[in-house]
Amino acid sequence: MADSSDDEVPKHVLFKDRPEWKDIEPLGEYDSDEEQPVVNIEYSAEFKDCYDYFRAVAQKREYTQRVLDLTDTAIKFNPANYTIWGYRFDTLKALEKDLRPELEYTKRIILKQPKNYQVWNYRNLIVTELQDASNEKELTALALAEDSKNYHAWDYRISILRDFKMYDGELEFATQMIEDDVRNNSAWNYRDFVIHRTNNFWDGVETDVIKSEIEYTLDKITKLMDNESAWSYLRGILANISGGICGSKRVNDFCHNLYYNKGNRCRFLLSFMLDCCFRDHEVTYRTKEGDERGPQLLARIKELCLELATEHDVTRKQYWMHLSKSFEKMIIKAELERQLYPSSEDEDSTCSCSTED
Amino acid sequence: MENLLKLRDINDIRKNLTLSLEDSTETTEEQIKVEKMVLKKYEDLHAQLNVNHNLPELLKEHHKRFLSSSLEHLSSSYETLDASRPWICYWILHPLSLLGVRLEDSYKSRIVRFLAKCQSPTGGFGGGPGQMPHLAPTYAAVNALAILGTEEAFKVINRPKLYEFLLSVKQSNGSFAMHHRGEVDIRGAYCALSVASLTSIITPELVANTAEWIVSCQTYEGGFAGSPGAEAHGGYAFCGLAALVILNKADLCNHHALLRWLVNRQMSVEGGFQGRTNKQVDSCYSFWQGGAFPLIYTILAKEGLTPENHLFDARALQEYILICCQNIHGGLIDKPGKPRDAYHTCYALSGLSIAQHFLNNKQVLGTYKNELANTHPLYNIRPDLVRKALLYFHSLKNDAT
Ligand SMILES: [Zn+2]
Repeated sequence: MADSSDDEVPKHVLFKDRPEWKDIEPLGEYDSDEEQPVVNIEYSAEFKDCYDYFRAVAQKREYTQRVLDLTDTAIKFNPANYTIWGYRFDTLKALEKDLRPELEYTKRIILKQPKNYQVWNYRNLIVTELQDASNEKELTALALAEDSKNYHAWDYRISILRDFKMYDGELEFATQMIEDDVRNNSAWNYRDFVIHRTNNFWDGVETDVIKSEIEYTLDKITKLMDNESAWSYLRGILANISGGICGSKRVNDFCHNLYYNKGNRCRFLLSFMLDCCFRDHEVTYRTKEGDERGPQLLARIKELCLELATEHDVTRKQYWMHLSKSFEKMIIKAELERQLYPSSEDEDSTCSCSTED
Repeated sequence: MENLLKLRDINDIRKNLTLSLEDSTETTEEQIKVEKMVLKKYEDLHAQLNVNHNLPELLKEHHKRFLSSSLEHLSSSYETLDASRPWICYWILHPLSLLGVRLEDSYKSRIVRFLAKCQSPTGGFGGGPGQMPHLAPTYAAVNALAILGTEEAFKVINRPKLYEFLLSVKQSNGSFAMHHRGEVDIRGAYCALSVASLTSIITPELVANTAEWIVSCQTYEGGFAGSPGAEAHGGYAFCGLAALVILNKADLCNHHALLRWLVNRQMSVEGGFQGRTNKQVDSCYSFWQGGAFPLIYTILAKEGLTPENHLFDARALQEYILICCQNIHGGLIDKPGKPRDAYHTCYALSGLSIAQHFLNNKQVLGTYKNELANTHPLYNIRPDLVRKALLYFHSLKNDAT
């Protein structure tokens, strides 16, 4: 390990040894004659010294430059101390400081401690005060380059997009992140967020955007079948069209081909087809067709559940068996209702993936 | 009904191993590494079974010792938890109570006095004495006090001030900020509703729009995110569901999608849960994901669809916790190779308790010596202690009116 001299940290001087702090009496958490607290942390001398001085100035409500410097040290020792961050913010406001340098300051901390709630929240406060989010995409991209699934970074980027309406180029960003790791679920989630925020989906119309998202996703599934992220995204997109999960002929044919022609038994495919059957039943049981299709669909549902429970997804056996019974109960209930209250309206909708031709 | 579980067949586990494909991604590579480590643990245990039929064993005495010593003293590596000390109390007291440890009354008093010092004059609790009130340590402190369960402990909580604090962080859209100017996320809603329901201070004003806001955090995957638009996540999903159940409004969310998302978080090889899709197994999700199941069962029961068994693989989850996550010197870990800590000890054991109990049935892996006390899935406190606290605070509510 070769340390460059730039990285050398100057030796830390205790606050009690600093002349500019002579007027302050440090304040411990406990008086010396008090009992030992539980969960007693063995603080280093530097940590205790710093926080004793912080408690003293906080009690006096001192908001000065030296307190600002003190919060810097206190944050270094424990960036998760939300009280310190709040005090720092109040001090900056009291001193009428320019908040811009805080961007550089928080950036340094975020890149060192990217999983800390407090620093992201503090940055958000600063950016909101400045009403300037022009650096935020770059910062989150840097954090995501380190850890492409960092929840804080994605969450923060989402809030910035929403608060500052900065959606331009974000679909491309999602595409790039998915390209880097097609199993990065955070990136897929982000894609869903961007797509829904930048498009209007109305009346269940299968718009061009939906069509192209379907193609995009089917392509990813074809390349890596066993990727739950892509299958879930597909469900999310289909939820926007009438017919829902089985409302797209393209997707139905895709599944049908995988299952019947290629013999694919990926658990996500089976689970998808299962929900398709159920949805199909929901849509058709009120129609003339329902008489015949109802029992067919129920049989298919039970078959798929059994296949999953015993062969392709044994870990979730209890769930698939439960689902099979639940579907059966719900379908029988629906059938009974249909016989009791027959409806004349004819909805046409069929799902080609659910039963074999 | 009691039932001793047997281990999964090691060959069945091997069948589920992730294959290294040519186009494999970073996620796949990492996943394969974890599976290798975990499989090694399972193979080692199967080899030892010939010698010791009582395996896997929950190292109760070791865990008690680790927890008891942490309650007293923590190394300087815990400095970054200086603002989470009520949490540490809860993370220790709860697993101790699951292990059936009874604390001396004088010792309980000492813990009560510490938590009392963390209470803010403006209501709620901070991460340590003198720190600002924050919903997370408030939740932890109230839970810890409920576990201590003495009148002295209950009396610490300043309910009118607590109510003021909760209202002060409530946002107009129904959500809650964690503290003054703090982050707004679904933890806030759960922490606020949990303490408010436990101490009987819930009002319509406190919960206005909250259920609707929580539902807006449910994602296309079925789980809940920390805030609208973000990714479904185990910790947040538990918070969202538990908060909805407290509000008696679970029917507002899509629980079929939630259940599908939940069952898919269980890992086929490891047996434990992951927090998010395509992430790695971690023992703390044994509770965050596992604890959501009993809550779902209550929703299913209302529809006449009560399950006959746990809807996740309770045996596989117990295997993961017992075989892969115990530090031999006491304490539990996230996954093999990680250091032990109070947080994972708390949530791994909470998850183990959930897996061992289904309604009134017990299904224990290993011998019955491995059994833990039951936990209440809404608060993650033993049900008898929840009842005691609810009765106490409810009587105060009646006094006040
Ligand atoms: Zn964890």
